[in-house]
Amino acid sequence: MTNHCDEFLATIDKRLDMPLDARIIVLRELASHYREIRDELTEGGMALSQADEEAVRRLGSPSNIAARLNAAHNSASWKSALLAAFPFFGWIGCLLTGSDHARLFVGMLLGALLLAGSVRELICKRHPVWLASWLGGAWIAVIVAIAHFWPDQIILVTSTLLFVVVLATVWPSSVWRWKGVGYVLVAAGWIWLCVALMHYHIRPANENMRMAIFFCGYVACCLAIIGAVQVFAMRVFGDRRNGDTAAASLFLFSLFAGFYAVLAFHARGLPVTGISILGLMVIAFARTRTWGSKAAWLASAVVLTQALLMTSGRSFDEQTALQSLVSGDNLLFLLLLSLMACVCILGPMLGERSEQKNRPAIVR
Amino acid sequence: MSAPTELVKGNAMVLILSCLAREPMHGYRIVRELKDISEGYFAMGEGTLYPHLHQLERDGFIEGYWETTSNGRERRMYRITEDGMAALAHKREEWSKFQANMVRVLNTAPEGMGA
Repeated sequence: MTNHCDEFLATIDKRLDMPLDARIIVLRELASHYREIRDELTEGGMALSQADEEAVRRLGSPSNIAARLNAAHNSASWKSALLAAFPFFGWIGCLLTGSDHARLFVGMLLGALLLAGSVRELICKRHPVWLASWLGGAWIAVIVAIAHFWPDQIILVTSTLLFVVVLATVWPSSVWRWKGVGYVLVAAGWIWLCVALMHYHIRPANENMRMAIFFCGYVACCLAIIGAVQVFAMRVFGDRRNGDTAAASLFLFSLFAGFYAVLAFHARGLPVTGISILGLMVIAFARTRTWGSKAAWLASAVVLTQALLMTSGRSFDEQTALQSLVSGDNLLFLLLLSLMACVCILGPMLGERSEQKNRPAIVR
Repeated sequence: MSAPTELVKGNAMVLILSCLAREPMHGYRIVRELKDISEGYFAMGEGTLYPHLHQLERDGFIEGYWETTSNGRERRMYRITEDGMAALAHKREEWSKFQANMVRVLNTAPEGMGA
């Protein structure tokens, strides 16, 4: 094969993100197609060098072809899947570090690495599968850092930061703008009302009303935040010409797994086992091809981690309101856990179907 | 004159299945057949055919296998499956309805409008 074709295939190979066997088929197939065009052109009297150039031109843009093949295969290579789980294993490494100071330092280093890697990929307009998980990991690292340095302001600072990021991301898109604004307004309204009730001793007429506001606030906030994060995921990963809703799903899954690990395992002194299970689940989730198998891995992650929590018999070192919600026997928490789990699969899957359905019949 | 790219892309599935319903073919031949039958109207991007083929294979509408020609060249051939035939029949019916209604509506407009 000639230089032009080698270059074309090398560019495609570099951008393909799928299991090795599938990658080999794609490259062999494109090489075979190239040879067919070239031979036809040379039989028609064209010089070999010209025929070579023309054949590569007719095959089209390698980055476009690779992006569309990635979307069609919907499954990550082992390298990408391992990179997707890196935030979780990095986190374990951080927890195994000796002193508190060293742990904080390694944690901040890991967070900075994840953030820098994600920003670099976004600036270069590349969307590898692992970017989803790195963004999720970077986001959790930011929240953990805020919790360490400004523990009293954690809710206000993290929620404001989340809303700014969501609004900045969805605003340029006419499809997602008003959905994002709607979720952010609902979540912000309830969060700030609840914070005002907690910190500034604003007393409604009676205690029942105060509890009702907290309860509704908790449910409404969680629903609105889940909605806002989902809109963010679909906008960043699924709203492209060759949108990849599997990456949106992986982002939601890794974010969900990260928060779950912080709340459920870290607080009970079981971080290494719990985070290892979730890291392995991220690899499996990234490698699966169909929505059905993604759902099966997600269900396995929830069942395994809940079983681990129940059999461990560990209790929280310091019981806080948030931790008591994660105690496993709380109906509200289980309801929200199921909802978040569903959102990882159902949101992107339905988004993909509705996008296809909304196309005019003639181009469906 | 060739068909608008978006139209070809949106209908690639039905175009490919129609070709494969006749006999198994490789990617290059599918592109040639579409171009020849439509007298150049369906000029599909040659490289962009493969994402469609792989998607159809994943959906179970076609299956691919390697074949070595008499001159030792290898090609990946595709053949339509039963599910693919059913999907094609469904699409054909959808298209007939669409086309009939489109013509009916277009015929109500006076000729030469906007010329």
